[in-house]
Amino acid sequence: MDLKDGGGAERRGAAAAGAAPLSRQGSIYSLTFDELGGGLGKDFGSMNMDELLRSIWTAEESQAMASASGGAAPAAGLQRQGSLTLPRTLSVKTVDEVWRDFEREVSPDAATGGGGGEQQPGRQPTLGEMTLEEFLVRAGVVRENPAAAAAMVAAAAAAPPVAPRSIQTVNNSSIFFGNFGAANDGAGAGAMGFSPVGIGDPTMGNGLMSGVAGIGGGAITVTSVDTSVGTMDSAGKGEGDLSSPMAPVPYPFESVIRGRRSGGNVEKVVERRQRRMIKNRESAARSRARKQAYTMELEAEVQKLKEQNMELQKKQEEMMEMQKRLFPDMQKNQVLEVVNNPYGQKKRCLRRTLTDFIVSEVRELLQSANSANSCGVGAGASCC
Amino acid sequence: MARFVDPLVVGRVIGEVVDLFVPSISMTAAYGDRDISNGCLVKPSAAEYPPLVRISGRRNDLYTLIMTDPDAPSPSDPSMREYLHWIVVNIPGGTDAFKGEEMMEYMGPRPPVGIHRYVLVLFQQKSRFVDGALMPPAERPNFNTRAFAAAHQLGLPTAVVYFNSQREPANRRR
Repeated sequence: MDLKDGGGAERRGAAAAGAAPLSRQGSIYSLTFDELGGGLGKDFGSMNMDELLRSIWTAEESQAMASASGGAAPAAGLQRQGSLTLPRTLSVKTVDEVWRDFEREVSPDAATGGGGGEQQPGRQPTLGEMTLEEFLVRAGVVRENPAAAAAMVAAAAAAPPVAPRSIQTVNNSSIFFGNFGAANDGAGAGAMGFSPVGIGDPTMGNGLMSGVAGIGGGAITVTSVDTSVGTMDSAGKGEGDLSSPMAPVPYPFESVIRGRRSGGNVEKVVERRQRRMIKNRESAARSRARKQAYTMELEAEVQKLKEQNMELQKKQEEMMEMQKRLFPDMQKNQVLEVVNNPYGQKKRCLRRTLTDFIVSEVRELLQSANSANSCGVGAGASCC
Repeated sequence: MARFVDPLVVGRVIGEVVDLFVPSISMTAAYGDRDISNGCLVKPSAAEYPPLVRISGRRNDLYTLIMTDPDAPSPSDPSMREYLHWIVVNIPGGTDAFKGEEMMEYMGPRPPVGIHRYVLVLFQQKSRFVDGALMPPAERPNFNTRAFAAAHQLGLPTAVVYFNSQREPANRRR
């Protein structure tokens, strides 16, 4: 991992390549302020940060509505609520003020010659060319750890990533007390510097490290955020739900957030996924049971009809036997018999109807067996 | 005899609606000319009006028929289990349900979500229910067949048949 390279270059690389473009396509976060301002029909400079975020959400939501079908849209709404947290001191500042803060910070950094410092001036000449994502990140809207960031600035030039990381971990566990494990905190902390490096980084574990490294260059911007971030952060965490990985929403911070999701959210997402899985399994089991029950019913029906058929056949044979016994020479003296015994004809009629009945019964049986088979294979909805 | 209850066990009708029982009466139900066998699928539009439920049994015995939906409002979350659709009492043996007295008016299946089971349960009555002796349930949701049977000394069912029904696509709905 190249620390020197960690700042601007990787940032841009991440924005341009890697996993990011996929998730970022069509997202408003990839728009610059110029593009965005035109799209929303608003002037951002005079807005304070609160208003800016609100307008972003509105735009994001309508976008999600448009791009995602039915079920996904509410998920986007859910995501949104926990997705961006705004430090209180920042929320009242106008976009222009924040931007001026950036500019002020850039110059001393350029003097120190830190990793990202060299590239910074050339990279962001005006607010209008800045993408929304970058702006939000730099303004510290997306949760960042100020203390860690400050430590990062100190360590920016040459410090190994391990040192700031340990600081962050300690720091975090004091901020996010409670249910998050230390390991998760570490992950959260590592990504907390929130350099887009994390986006391009394919592995989460490394994202932790390079995230730290990335901040070496970019941290200077973060210092503008004061300590209130800490409290805001934990509040945001309390609400949970950073994002749902299952929602197919064009969410630009998705990959980053996945890397820096805290323990609580991971648990929640895992739990939700598990619940869905269980529900799905139950539903599948019900479906199987339904099918099986119906098959059993039809099998029982077939069995019943078979027995009935056998019984009827036996009866028929018996009757024929009886007929033979009673009228042994019926064939020879049929005419005579018909004359002498007016019931003979009727008996034959009876036999014929009986045979007909059996034949039709068997036919029915076969049909129901066939439909049972097709039921088991195909949709089988309307076969009863 | 076991094979007659097997589909009911697999379809979880025995267990979720009634307890294990041994059928002692034969019961057939038909919507129009369509016979109902356990687990078959009936469109709600085909079951708008009450089915013809024929039962065996002696003329002197009286029977109670109940139709419920244990999957309301959704099979994965049956918070209204059971939803009552029909109660007919004082059905003489060897006749059909129309010869009895309707205590709860028939309501056809209207499954909002998922495939629901609609269970027809027949109980043999100890005696004739006279007016006033039997209070019809105030509501259809959250009915309990077992509790109803226990409250009216109906004992175990004598026959059960069930079918499935699923909401029809809007364009086919009447």
